[in-house]
Amino acid sequence: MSASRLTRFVDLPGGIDPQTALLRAQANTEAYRESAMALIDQAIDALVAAGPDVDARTAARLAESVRSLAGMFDLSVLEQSAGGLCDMIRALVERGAWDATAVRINVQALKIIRQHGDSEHLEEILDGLRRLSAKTAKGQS
Amino acid sequence: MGKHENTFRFQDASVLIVDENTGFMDLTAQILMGFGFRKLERRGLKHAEPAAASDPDLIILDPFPDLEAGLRLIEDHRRRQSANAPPAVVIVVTGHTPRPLIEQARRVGADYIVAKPFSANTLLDRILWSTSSVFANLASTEIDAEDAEDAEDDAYRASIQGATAALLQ
Repeated sequence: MSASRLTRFVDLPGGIDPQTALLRAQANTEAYRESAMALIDQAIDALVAAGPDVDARTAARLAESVRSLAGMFDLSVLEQSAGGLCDMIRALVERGAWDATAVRINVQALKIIRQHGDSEHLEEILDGLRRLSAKTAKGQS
Repeated sequence: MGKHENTFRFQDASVLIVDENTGFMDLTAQILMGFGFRKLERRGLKHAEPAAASDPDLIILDPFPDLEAGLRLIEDHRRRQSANAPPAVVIVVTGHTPRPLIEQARRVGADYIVAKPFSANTLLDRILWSTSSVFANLASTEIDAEDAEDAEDDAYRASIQGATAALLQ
């Protein structure tokens, strides 16, 4: 029996090899970059606009959107900071204690990082966010 | 089978992509189109249930934020598939991969769990791996995919990865 339903599409006349497929996928990904950046900006703007009353589920969804899209385009500082926000939101939800200030600082940092580009000079901001997230997760003020 | 599978033509393979993040869903679709897939159906998790009538060859699904609904979708699909026919390939892609989720996803029938963000290389690797005879043997003995990667056919994996690693690193 075939391994899976995709097996029947292998080794057919007119097929492509992995190298060709990856080059095409890479080109398609790059063509999507501008749209992805716009979606990242929209998500950050939505987080900013939601303010302190944002519900955890919405905040998590928007932060995850920023994280995953940034990661697909090698925006590592933005990906890490959005990932930190995701982790912090999960920790706050698990503790049953929302910290609007900590969330707001993280959201503002996302905005700053996006405005100033993905640069190693933002490492200081990232360090500060990590410390804040760690303290928030432990319930310290 | 395995090492000779150097080419593929996925244009007639049907794909269901389920993701609440429409931007990421579009990006996944772009990557799959690069691989040659053309029959792509995209759904949000909330609207994925009516897909019961469809019969995709490949399902790529992010179960968040409604984990229960996402896993039920996989389970329902597995329940419907014929025992005598080759199985569809189910890949869970998600930004949050705690161990309980991985175990639950495998229990309901996911073949792979891929963390977001992922490289096109990683996704293609999983797709091609699912076409190999090793995949069938392991599926039939209910050994999970991670163990399979450790245990079997390293040469086949290396042939795919070796050919492609330089492209996306």
